[in-house]
Amino acid sequence: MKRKVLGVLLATVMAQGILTGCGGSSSTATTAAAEEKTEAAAAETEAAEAETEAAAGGTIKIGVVAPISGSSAMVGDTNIKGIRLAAKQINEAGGVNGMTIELIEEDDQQDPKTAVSAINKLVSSDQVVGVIGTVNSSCTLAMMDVTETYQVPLITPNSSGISITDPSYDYIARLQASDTMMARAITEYALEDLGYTRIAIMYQNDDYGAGGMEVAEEVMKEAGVEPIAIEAFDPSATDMSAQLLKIKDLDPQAIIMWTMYSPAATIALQVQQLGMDVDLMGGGGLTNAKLYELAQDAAVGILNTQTFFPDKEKASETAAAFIEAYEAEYGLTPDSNAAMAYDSMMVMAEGLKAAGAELDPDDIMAGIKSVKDMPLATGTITMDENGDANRDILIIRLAEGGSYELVK
Amino acid sequence: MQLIQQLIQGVSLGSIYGLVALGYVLIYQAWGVLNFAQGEVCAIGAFSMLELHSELGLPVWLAMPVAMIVSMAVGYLIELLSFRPLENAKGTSRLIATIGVSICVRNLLRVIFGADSFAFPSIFGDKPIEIGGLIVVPQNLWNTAFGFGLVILLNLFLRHTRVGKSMRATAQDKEAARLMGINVRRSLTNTFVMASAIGAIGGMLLAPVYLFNSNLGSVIGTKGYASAVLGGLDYASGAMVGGIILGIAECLAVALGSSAYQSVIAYIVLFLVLILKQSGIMSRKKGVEKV
Amino acid sequence: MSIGKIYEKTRLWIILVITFCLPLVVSNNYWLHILNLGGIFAVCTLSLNLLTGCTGLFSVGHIAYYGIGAYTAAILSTRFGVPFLIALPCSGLVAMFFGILLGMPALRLKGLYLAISTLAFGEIAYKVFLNWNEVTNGTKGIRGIKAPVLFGINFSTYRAYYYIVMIVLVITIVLMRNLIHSRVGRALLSIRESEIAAAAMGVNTVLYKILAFAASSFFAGIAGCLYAYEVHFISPESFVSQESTTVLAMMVVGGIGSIAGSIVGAFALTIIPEVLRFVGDIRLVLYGAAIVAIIIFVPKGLGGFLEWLDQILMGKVKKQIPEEGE
Repeated sequence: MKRKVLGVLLATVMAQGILTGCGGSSSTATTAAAEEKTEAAAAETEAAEAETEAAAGGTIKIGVVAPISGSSAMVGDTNIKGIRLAAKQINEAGGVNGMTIELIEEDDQQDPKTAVSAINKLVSSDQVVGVIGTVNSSCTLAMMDVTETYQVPLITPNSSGISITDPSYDYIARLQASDTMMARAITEYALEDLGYTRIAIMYQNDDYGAGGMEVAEEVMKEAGVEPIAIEAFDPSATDMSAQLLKIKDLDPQAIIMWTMYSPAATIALQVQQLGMDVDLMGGGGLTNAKLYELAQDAAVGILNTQTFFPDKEKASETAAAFIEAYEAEYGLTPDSNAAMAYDSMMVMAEGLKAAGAELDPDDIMAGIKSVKDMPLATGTITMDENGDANRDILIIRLAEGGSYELVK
Repeated sequence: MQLIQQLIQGVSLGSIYGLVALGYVLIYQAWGVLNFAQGEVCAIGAFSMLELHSELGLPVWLAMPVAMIVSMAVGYLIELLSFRPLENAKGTSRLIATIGVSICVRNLLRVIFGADSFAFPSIFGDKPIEIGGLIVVPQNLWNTAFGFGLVILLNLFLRHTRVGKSMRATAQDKEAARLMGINVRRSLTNTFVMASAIGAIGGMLLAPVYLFNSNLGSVIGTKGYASAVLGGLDYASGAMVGGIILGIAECLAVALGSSAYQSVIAYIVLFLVLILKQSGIMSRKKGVEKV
Repeated sequence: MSIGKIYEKTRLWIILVITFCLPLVVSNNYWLHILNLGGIFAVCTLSLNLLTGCTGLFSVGHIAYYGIGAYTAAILSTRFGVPFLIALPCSGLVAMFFGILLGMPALRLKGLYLAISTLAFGEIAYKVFLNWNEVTNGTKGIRGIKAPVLFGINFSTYRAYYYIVMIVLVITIVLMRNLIHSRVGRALLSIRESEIAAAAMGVNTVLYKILAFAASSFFAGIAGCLYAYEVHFISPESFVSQESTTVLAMMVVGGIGSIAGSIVGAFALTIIPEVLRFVGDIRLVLYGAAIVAIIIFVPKGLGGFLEWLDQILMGKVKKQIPEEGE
């Protein structure tokens, strides 16, 4: 009996809740809307207060979102290292317009839901002026709705998904060359420069891998060449021999693999083990000193697209300076992710400079998008009106001993 | 030809799954719960061997037993802190507790070793041997042999030693074992520590063949318990059989089907086996109602 | 009237008033988002609780239904412009269809074997989300899910959407309560305790098990729909099997079989990792340890603890946490 009463109680309250919550009549509707407006106004004043505080020689809070845990954690780690180095250098050089940069780092666990929580924390709790993040395109896409609503400039270092720099989103910019540019470059190189016709594609089954695979397939079809095989593997897989055996049977000349350096090392090792004679090539995710360390000689000869040339002897002046500073700071050789993250911070600083003491998000964004011919670790960068960085794409080859040489 | 090669690859892959599954089966028999942290114990085995060999410079023959002892110690800690207090709790609670342990240990490994991958030098040689157009990697061959050898040793141990017999008795019926004067408490602990040692061996045999990172436990753990269930949880050799079937299914899924659905095909095999023969391929029982 | 009596009479109202006033106090969007996620997971955990906690059918792939619900809502909303109020029940129904589909063969299986088969189903669903480009847009996910508009109000802020989540949660609680305390609920409980005995007493176990699967997957699908409208973007990463274990952990931490428990568990495990953000690197180490600690030290779950507190406040002091549906 008591339970029935409970049920009825709940039901009545629920009914009232629906009425008050959703507002049946127009009068409540307008009040609700008005309330929202006042809140928005209140939020703005708060933000303004934060800004004036910052202007008084204070700090500028910049949020960082990266996968600190999960299977992309290795990328998240180098990203954070790159961003910290850039922030440190900016602060040592006197900061931005007399203000120092303070980083607030959050983990997205490479899960879009957690990424949305992280960006909300940064935007609402920490009231950051801008955000740099994150790695997985799906997480960046999920975050973009938040940064768009609250007008916070977001620069993604590595998300290469094609749909990220959608013109209908105003507060996003990215440093990474998109999948389209990278995959097109390497596929055209295999088709035109090497003259291959028997090409297989392998990709890690996530947004990064599938994005590159689709472009490579499209470019090949444009040239009238059918890929001999398209094989997927799990990003965390430890064994790719089944896929490789299938490809081996089709007598390939080259395998375009769209993945990160760790799975690429597994592929290289197993290609050697299975006695296959193919050229391995791929995107920017392959450039890392770890690739040679893990796969040793099996990795020699791997070709990949890159915007960052990781050898300080042969790199541009700015790139060499970055490599040196990174090595001094962490005792590690930076990879392209670290460089990309470093550059993201630098471009963000450029936007902040342009916005002056007001730090208006539109001014910051305009500043970011007007970056032109800026020499950075990953080359000379010009941003376009969609927030994409235009740059030259290099093709580099992993040589004996783990050094890189420029191919094209 | 490709298919035969795929089968060979599947067997090598499956032997490792089987070794991991063995730990699941042992703990399941004694404790009546799937220990989801078993994959992490394998990872601890692999990482301690790496640390001892590559960092401290111990030779492999010494690094392996020391790594095993480390894993056994960690296994003992897991048992002490999260299994023993929950001995009389509901199956579901205990299962979730093991998931909690695995989250904890996996992230601890990440904090200590970072998120990057590691390679371990081959112990038995990774130069492939070609026999009639087929490629065999010695390390893989050894792994398969090791797996089956371990099952035989385990069976001998369980059947012919005092400790082993009391472990079996405890697994069968705790009350009866207690009445017969067996120290059930100690038997349960023994089983857990032993399963940890076996898990560590799995991790150590895997390390020279594949690259691994702190996420290894969750990758290999999933394969391990799927193999254990596939083979039948009440039978030690079922684990090896289950592992090899899963390995072959995964390779053939790619060869004959689509690699995008690789694990789906493996899981469909698992699903069908369960529907057709509820308690696994090697099982003699009709059904087990433990969780 | 004693304080205990007053408390007993008013406690539901107090909880409801607090629930509905909370967003007026919490002005931070971050915490509103976390509260919304907590509410969404509470619906999902309640649905799992019906299947696993009440009926004893172990499901480790529950996130699959949640994912199916989310994808149904996203596709209906972005491709066909279906309004929220229609998309919501549709997501539940589509998830229910798959729940029944899996429920039928799975009827043969018990305990752990059922668990593994649901795990297999979860994994298969994830791979289908990932690879079926034509429908799910594959790895790229579906973006641009517009905020619901009801009666001319646009629920685009987290604060406004909070009310939708909470209303759905309250409806779910009422329905679950009524279901569990009805004839059907008692039949389900009897199946959990002993299927053979239940069958002997004339309970049509096959029918009731399918019913449990259907109702459970329906509410999981509803939760998925709520999730899609909360983040406006869905991709396969949100529906990996780890999420299933998270939902299971929510149920266990809250207290198996208890409605209050499922809700508290869902909120607790959504909030704990966020509160732990300040510790940085070892956040998930502590999260894992916290799950184990709660299970060991609060064996009846957080919900059981609250029920005990409830009894004390009502003046019906008991020395021990009361036994519930063992």
